[in-house]
Amino acid sequence: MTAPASEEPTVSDDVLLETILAKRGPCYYNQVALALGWPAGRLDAACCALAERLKNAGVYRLVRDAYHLSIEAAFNSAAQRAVLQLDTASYARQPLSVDEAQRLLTLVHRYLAGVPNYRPKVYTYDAQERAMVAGGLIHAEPDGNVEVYFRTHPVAHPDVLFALGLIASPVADGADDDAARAVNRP
Amino acid sequence: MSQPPPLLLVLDARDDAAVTRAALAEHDPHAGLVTVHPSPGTGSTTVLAHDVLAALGKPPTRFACEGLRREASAWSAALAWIIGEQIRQIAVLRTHLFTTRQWQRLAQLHADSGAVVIAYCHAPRIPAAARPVLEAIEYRVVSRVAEAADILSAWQVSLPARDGDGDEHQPPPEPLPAVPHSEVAHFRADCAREMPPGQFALLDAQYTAGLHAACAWITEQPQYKQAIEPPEPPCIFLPPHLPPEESQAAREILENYYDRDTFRQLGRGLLCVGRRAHSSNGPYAYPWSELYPLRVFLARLVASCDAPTALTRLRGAQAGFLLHGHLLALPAALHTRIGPGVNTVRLTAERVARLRTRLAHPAHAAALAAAMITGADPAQLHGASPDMMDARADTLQLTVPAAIHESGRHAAERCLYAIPALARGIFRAALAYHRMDPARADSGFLAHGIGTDLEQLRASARACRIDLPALVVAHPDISAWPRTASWNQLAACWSVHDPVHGPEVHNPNAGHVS
Repeated sequence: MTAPASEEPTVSDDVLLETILAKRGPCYYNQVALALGWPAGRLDAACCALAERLKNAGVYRLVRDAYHLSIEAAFNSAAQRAVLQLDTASYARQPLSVDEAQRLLTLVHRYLAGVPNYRPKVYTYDAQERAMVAGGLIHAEPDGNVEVYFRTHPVAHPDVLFALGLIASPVADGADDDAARAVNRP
Repeated sequence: MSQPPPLLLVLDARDDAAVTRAALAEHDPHAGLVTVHPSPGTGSTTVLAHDVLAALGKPPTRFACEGLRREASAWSAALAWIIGEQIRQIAVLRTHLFTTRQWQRLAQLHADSGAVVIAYCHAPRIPAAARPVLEAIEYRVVSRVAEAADILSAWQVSLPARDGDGDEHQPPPEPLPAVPHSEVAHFRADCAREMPPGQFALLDAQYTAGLHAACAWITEQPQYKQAIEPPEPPCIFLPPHLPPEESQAAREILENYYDRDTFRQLGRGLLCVGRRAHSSNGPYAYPWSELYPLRVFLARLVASCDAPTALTRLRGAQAGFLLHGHLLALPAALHTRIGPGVNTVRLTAERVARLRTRLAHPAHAAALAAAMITGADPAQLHGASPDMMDARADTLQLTVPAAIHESGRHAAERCLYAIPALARGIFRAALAYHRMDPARADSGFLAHGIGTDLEQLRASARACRIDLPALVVAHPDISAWPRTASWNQLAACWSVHDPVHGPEVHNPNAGHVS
């Protein structure tokens, strides 16, 4: 005998959202709202609740950009960083590949054009970007807070900008990036 | 170059010591002026050849062991040095005591060298021994040194400039400290963090020199000019009266709304920098096709540099290429590689002077210089033919194993090395010596200086107190080829992105964009 409908367990919005994203992978934000019949405010609240819960639960994070929602492994988790540190020293000595040079110069052009480069505090890098972070080509942020952030673009490492003569000094070990940076446009 | 004046005979009737002193005071081989003081009491033309070599600064104690004991080889070597070092004037004293045979040699020297020959006769009349020779050639008699100087000055004005000692890229006067083994992305930053400010300033000067040299070189290349579109006028998308935060928000929307290529096209108008022209390659990277000029540029950039300076300049050059949207790909762990500037012995002015004054045979001096510059396999040096050196003797190509064919055999290609300006005369002399005897046509022009089992090369190195670089022997193991190849052979270049430096090309001052 089935339980009466009124006694069916209530699923919270964030659990429902997590289930959808785990089952279907990255989804359009509007598509989720439309499928669930939720107004934007309810979906936003669900996103915040899910992000808070995931932060305390492990390495996964909710990632949101202009159009998509997804659950992805947070690169900046301490455990993952520790693993990557094993590769950094050897990787850092590898010459730039053609693909890396292309992506790096894209970041440099954005820097020079003044296109805002938020350094995302919750961000999932793709495989090549992870490798470039390991090689010190892209600047990686330390672990940030749990709010949902828009996905934006990574920034070239200050060492790279210094190599190209675009900033006045490199970042000393442990120093604050903004304090050390002075724009020197060509 | 115009023909030199005829052989000049200066009749010093009173055997004035002042005339002799003045002639000896003019002696300056570095400036192309040589004064020969012949050995007295002999009519031997072989001894006269040795006197000429000694006047050119060659050590008489080395004539026998370097195969210059005989007349033919001694005169060939003397003539080769005169041609190679661009000697313009040869003054010979005490010619009134010459035999006819010695006068014949003097006349031949005048005809073959292209230099002006001044024969000082400390007597009132033309010597009898000279008359049979002078009747067959053009000559001029003067009784005063000033008169000879007047004749020469008109000719010397027409001469092209001699090689300077300076290279396009001068190495620093002091050697740099050891540098980090970082790749281009971190090299300059690691140096700034690890070195004291004074040392970093010295290093940064070389890094910047490499960067600027790369910028100047690449912007002059036809391949680069053809790949860059002219700058476009700015295209305003946003009303200028918008507050900064609204402009920023608008740009973010644009960035998220348009796909990458469309946004790049919009950005051209905003950034006013030349962009890569549309081609069949689209946004994809493509290789730089003209590798020979690239390797000439790299070889000259590090010629006569020690390893830290060469590494620093190369990293600077890589940064310069990136600023122009190109990846200059150099092999990993560059400091462990073989090739110019990295594992070779630096040709300083002092070392080159030792080559000139402690070795008599031009092929011996050139072989030792080539070993120092290239660090190459002795078989490659042994087989170096004259056509592997360009006319100005500023580059040397050696045939080296290259990429592996499908058959598993090595192909051969030519690896390029730059000859520093202060050593070019030595290589020209070796080439001149090699060409004088048709019998030597089948052998390399450095072969005489290498010897069997390198014994001659090692003897030359001991005489000059110079350590040979670890000479590489070609490895039969094909898989080891990349380790035994010069870094210069492995250098490649890719066009990967739009240039950062600009405007390009259509600026008349584009040779020094920065």
